[in-house]
Amino acid sequence: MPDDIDPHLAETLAQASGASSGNGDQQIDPQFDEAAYLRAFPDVAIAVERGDMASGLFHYALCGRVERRLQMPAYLSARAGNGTQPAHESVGARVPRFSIDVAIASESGAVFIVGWADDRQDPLVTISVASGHGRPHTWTRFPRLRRPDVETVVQSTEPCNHGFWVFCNDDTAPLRTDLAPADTECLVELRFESGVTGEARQPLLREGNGQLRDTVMGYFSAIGYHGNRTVEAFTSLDLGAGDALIRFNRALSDSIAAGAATERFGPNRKHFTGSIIVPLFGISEFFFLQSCLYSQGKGIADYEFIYVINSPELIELIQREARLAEMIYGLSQTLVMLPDNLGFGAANNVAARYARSDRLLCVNPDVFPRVSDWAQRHSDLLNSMPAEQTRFFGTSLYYDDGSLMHGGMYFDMDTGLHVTRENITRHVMLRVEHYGKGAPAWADQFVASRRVPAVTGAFISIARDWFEKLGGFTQDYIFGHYEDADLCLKSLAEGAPVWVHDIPMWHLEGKGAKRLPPHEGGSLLNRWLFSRNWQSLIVPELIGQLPGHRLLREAVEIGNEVDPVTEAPLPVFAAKVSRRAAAKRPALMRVR
Amino acid sequence: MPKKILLISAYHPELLRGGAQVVCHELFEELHADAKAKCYLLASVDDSYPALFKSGARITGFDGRADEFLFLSRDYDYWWHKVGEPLLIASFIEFLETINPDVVHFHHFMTLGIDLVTVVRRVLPSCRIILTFHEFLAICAADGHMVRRSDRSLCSRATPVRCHQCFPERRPEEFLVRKMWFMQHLQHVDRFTCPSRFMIEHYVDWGIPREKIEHVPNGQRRYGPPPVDSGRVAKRNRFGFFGQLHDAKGVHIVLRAVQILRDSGFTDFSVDLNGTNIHCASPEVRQEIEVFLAAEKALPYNAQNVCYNGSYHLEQLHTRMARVDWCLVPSIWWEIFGLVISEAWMFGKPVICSNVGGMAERVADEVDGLHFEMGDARALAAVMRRACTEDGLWRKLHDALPAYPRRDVMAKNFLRLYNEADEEVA
Repeated sequence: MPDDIDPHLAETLAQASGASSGNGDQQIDPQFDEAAYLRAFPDVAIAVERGDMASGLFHYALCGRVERRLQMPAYLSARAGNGTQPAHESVGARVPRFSIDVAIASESGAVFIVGWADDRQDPLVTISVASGHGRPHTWTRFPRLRRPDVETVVQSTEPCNHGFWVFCNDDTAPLRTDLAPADTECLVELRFESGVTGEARQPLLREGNGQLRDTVMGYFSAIGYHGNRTVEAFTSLDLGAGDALIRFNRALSDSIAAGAATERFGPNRKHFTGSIIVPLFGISEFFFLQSCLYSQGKGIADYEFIYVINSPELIELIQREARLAEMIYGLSQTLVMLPDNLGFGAANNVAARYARSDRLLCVNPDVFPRVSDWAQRHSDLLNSMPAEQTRFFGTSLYYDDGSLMHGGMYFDMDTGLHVTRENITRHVMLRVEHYGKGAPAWADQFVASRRVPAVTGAFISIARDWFEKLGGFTQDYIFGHYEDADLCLKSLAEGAPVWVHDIPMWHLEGKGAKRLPPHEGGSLLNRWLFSRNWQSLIVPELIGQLPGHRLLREAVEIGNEVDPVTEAPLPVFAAKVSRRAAAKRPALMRVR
Repeated sequence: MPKKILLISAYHPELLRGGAQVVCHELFEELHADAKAKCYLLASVDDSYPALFKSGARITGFDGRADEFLFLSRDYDYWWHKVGEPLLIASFIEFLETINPDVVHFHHFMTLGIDLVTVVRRVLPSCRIILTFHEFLAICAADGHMVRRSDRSLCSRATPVRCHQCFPERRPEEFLVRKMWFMQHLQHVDRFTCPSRFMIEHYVDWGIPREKIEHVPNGQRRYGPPPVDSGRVAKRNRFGFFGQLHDAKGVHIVLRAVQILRDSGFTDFSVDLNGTNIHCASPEVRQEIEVFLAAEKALPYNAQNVCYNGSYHLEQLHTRMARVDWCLVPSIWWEIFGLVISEAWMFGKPVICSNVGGMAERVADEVDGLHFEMGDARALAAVMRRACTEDGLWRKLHDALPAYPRRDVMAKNFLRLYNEADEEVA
């Protein structure tokens, strides 16, 4: 907020804004409401109170318009509730100051509430919400977060998490969509440690189930914390919010999957060598590009394509492109059309139902063959290698600049501390890393056939019966990320580690889908879930490039070969490369 | 049985002037009159002629002309160069099956779709496919000019990062995919041709096999009676510009050179501008041209050096050419071939041109024409002054002018390519 504002500027700005200050001038911007604005934005209210700002209108004209504050939930909520008393004044004076920024309910009764409380002296212990429909909900554990705007308002000088958010749903599956929008408000009660309570009658905004999921995940991605962001986010999810979101997303996925429709194009065969499954998210161009670039290689006629359209707005366009592809390329293509975004894992699982082969290839839309006869190579691989080596495998992926993107994945972990007044807890946060990321194309040790801890979902080839035995991709993950590693670990847990074989592909990593804030929130939640589910298996046996897990040990067993540069013993997979190639490796690329 | 040849043209020269379509139509006329071949023309038209889009039709005849058809292009993606309308592709397939050509010769692919090449191969597996590159559009997304958008310098090679520098909003990866997309379709072409030799090196560097690409100069019929050389000794101070009035053609460089000459006190010369499509110029260049011409018009008649004559039909070319001594070709891009150079030679006019690309390849500096540094108005001004004042220069260059490339020679060259498959079989 700027200091030293010229009072004349205030009037000028106010006039320029086209809004009124409530003194009888014609109100040109009908959305602006001085009282609601001050109620919604405590930082502005304090500035006005201190005389730093002439009015809320002045602030709006100066920067609020640019910041789109009139579109913010806090303002919409405050404006909808205009005429009621501010929440923090509704109950006795001893109640700590608090505010509910927004309350949103979905059509199935899920509720999302965001607010803050200045509970430094009297900690907030319980949040309850009740409305006309659905069960009342009470939370005794809920995420806290940093609110710099509130810190300014309450003039907090020490790190303090004033903010909170809660989420719940009624755990009904499939989700109901027929609830009448009867309630326009809900009652939120905050109970503090001293026993005092504060109540706020809050306007209840309505969103669809998918919208609400996106809203929550988008909000989650943008939260600020004191301390390590990932650790604090994990801690938030540990408090029940994570499981509630997963259950809600699963129920939502089931509803979306139940609405799937299909259409087949091109040659119709009863059986194919492989079914290439491609989930599409937000970008249509990859459909015709893949149709073109996969269509003309040797052996491709033995493969069918199953595209899962997670973006309903693309359905008409993709249908047209499929009709074009049928005429131009003659591919066998099935479109699985979904009414909403099902997410990566669930989309692949749905598509697998329509496969007409015993082999599933899960391929990202931004993966393209680097060699024209890739399909023939893939078929030859299936026919020539032992079944255990082809049951479940990935391949080498390359950047557009020709360097290696990776040849298999391994696991590593970060640790962080969560500090409260009572104790300090240590959190393990697993992450997925890639063998040979950015390595020159000649560094063939990274693409040699071998067992690896995991392969990327950008390209997976898996026997259909094995995929089904593993239960397909775990659908608890939201949108995408980590479900590929999860599937690999399920396979490992069943005694079958995954393999990498060298069928080189281009991968425009991360360019295959539009990435929005909700997806970032989903990634964060997925990492939390993955860490929770697999920490006991991964730590310590699967950590690092040379994991000690018994089923992978052979792949990384130290052999007799030594690195010609460092003279360090080479693991078996690295020792398989020629001495010439190893000698050419720069220090950065050495496998240690 | 005469060989059936389908020529596919981006636009019809009757509807939209442009070098590629002019050359394609010249070839069509030559082959159509040849009893040994049966030739058809399919030319695209876009929504600049909505009245030609007959209801429900995708391919139609054209103005009662025998064997000439229009491809009613719609829903065209100018980035990927493909049409998005399945019915248009279905009609094209039906058209191919109806004509059943032995040879399909693409003159360009814009407004048609590069994927039509794959359609031809799929529908007519044994058909011979020829594709003539008329600029670098397959290589370069910047209008196929291979001129860097950052500083307007000539570009020598396309790579993902260099192309991203021209299109910062698009990531390098997109250009890898763009190239793969083009290459995938172009692999079905049996023979490529370029009207200039220097183009071949660009395409070979890009990845087209050298053995598949050949130089076939653009040929034209004679557009008027040959010039009568009286042998008189006269001032040779009349310059002519013929072509599109947009940035790449460099007409604004001519106007700057005129100003430089005037400022130096040299005014004994004239420049005729012949052409149109100023709406295709950038706003800056358009304004520069329009402001200059308006100011010129405001001058007393005897003080005007520049005269804008507007557009012209090919039949008018000989009278327009008769008014000048020199033909200016000041293009600020590679200028693939420069039909206007052929036309200048057709009417006995030495050419003053930029020293790059197709211009430099065709016009021999100090032998049959003069070069100047591309984009350098001062250099052009100096050459123009020399052309006006140096005794015997015009005569020397005029007497060394090469013959213009004839369309019957071009047709023979293409027929040889069309028949190559037969020769290989024999």
